[in-house]
Amino acid sequence: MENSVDIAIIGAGPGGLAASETCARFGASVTVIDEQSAPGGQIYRQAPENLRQRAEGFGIAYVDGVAKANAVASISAIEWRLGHAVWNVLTPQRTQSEAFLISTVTDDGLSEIEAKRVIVATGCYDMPVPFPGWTLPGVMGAGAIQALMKGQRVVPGKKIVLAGSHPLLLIIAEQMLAFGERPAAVVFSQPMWRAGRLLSRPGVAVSFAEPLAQAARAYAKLLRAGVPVIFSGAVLRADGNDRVESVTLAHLNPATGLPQPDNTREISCDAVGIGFGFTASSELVRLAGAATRWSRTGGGWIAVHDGEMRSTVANLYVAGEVAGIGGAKTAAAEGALAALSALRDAGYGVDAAELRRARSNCRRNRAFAALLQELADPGDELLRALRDEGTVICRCEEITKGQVEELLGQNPFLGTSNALKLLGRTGMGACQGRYCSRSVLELISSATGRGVEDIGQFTARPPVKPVPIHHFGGGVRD
Amino acid sequence: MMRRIIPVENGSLTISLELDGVRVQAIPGESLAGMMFARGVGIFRWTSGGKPRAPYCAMGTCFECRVEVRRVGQEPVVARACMTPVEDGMVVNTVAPREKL
Ligand SMILES: Cc1cc2nc3c(=O)[nH]c(=O)nc-3n(C[C@H](O)[C@H](O)[C@H](O)COP(=O)(O)OP(=O)(O)OC[C@H]3O[C@@H](n4cnc5c(N)ncnc54)[C@H](O)[C@@H]3O)c2cc1C
Ligand code: FES
Repeated sequence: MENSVDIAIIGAGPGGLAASETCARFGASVTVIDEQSAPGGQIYRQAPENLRQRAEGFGIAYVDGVAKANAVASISAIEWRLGHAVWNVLTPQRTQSEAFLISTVTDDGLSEIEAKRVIVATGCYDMPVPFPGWTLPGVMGAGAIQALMKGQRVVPGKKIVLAGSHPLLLIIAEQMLAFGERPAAVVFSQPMWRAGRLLSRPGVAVSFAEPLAQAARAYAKLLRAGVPVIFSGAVLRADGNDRVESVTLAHLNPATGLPQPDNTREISCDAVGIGFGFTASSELVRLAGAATRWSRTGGGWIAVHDGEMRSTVANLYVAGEVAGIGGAKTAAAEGALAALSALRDAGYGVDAAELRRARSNCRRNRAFAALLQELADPGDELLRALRDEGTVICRCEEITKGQVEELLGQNPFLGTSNALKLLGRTGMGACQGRYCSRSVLELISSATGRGVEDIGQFTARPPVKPVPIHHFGGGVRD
Repeated sequence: MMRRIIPVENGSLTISLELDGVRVQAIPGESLAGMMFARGVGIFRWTSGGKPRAPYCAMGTCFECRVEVRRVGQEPVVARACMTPVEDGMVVNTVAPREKL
């Protein structure tokens, strides 16, 4: 207990950074932990020093965000554990003490942090969407392509197709253009009028003028550069010999939104970025025993909180994407609120007016997030239509949709994700089910008619990040 | 083809390591995946079913970029190329197709 810090913050993205800044301002002792070697999270991911040129290509918001992240990182009252991946969180109840025990792993070994309170701001990852050929080298998440550009200044191809339903695709394409990389095509599953209809709702266009203008500018730039921007389309399959060489694009029926098999064409490409949205990284929240709930359009299993970012486990708080996909501003607003709640619970004098402001800031941002989720939603029917019998569902164990369905057919009482994992190995692999859990849930649901909450998710188990066995004094194996 | 999107001066390639038996120069702080992409490496590992794989998430969650890494004076470990920075003297091996093992 002597060594425990007041507040540990897991994740140094916009959520965790706002939380740490607030905690430091109140004079609390705070440790910030992130697996990356620099602060900023996904949106403000930084390149190493010798690869930082032309950062302005990612836009002024990126340059400002990075500067802000580094300013927070220079606050000397905060202790930084960068390059530390958290692989386990034990609650005070489990440790039978007054502190949480956070276990981390670095390239050099293991370490532990004791903290009286923990804020989890672990963000999200590209939502996995299985379709034929999605395991081919060159097919990746759209966010992954951006991460490679921001963090490493590389692109995975020369002819990149960006496809999905998330408006972020426009921004990524615009950033590619800024570096002289012309996407082969940008494909949205929505009809073009969908955005217009949403925006024509009273008040919407006014309150969201800034992001709207940004998207419109990106769209105009792409058109000027001659990049085909296709609406009502979807990538049906990716083909190639050891690497993606082409995708088959289907035109979606305007009435049903589903692919028309007789209305397809092939586009030659050497990389594909799929962006249908994001999945919350809620493993640590679940590991600590805090409740999550299913949000179909808002990130899958997201952390339940009380409106002031307290999870269902005492002294464990959540902020940002892990509490529902909402973007960087929402994450920052919630990070600040989570910190205020933690500080208040710890007995710091938090001004009621400040708390009120933080709450309303979160509400305002969540309203935007809800709109974005609605705009970006591809609809489950489309995602289901993209996978066929032979499509790999579990990338790690190479299990297809057909195999899962066969198992479900043979075992009519198999009704939970965990049961399927035991019997069929889906979710057993290295990614710990992050990339198959959504598909597994849907397949069980269509086979059994059971509800999502009844089917549940794979139980999160430590280590949630890989720990080389030799750190425990044993041999080495994958 | 995967490649850099900014010019890189030779002077910044100060790290020396081995990739699949070949000596390569790399930039301090870049990840193994960044270095491998900059060199045009397309396949990072082969599955036990004999299928090629490469980075999918580029942020440490999918584990598709696993390679074998041996640091100076250490046992080899399987590490995520996208999360592992290059180091002097490192020996990195992409995981070969089963039939070649
Ligand atoms: C690849 C990608 C690209 C994106 N690009 C954009 C963009 O350009 N514009 C935009 O508006 N939104 C983008 N988003 C959405 C974006 O996540 C949010 O806008 C914003 O970054 C969310 O902030 P956050 O603090 O909630 O999470 P994040 O920014 O994701 O921060 C979470 C941090 O937690 C760390 N972390 C997670 N798990 C662990 C662990 N177990 N141990 C240690 N550290 C851990 C991560 O390394 C990360 O730095 C992107 C998302 C992804 C996945
Ligand atoms: S590319 Fe997904 S873990 Fe490295």
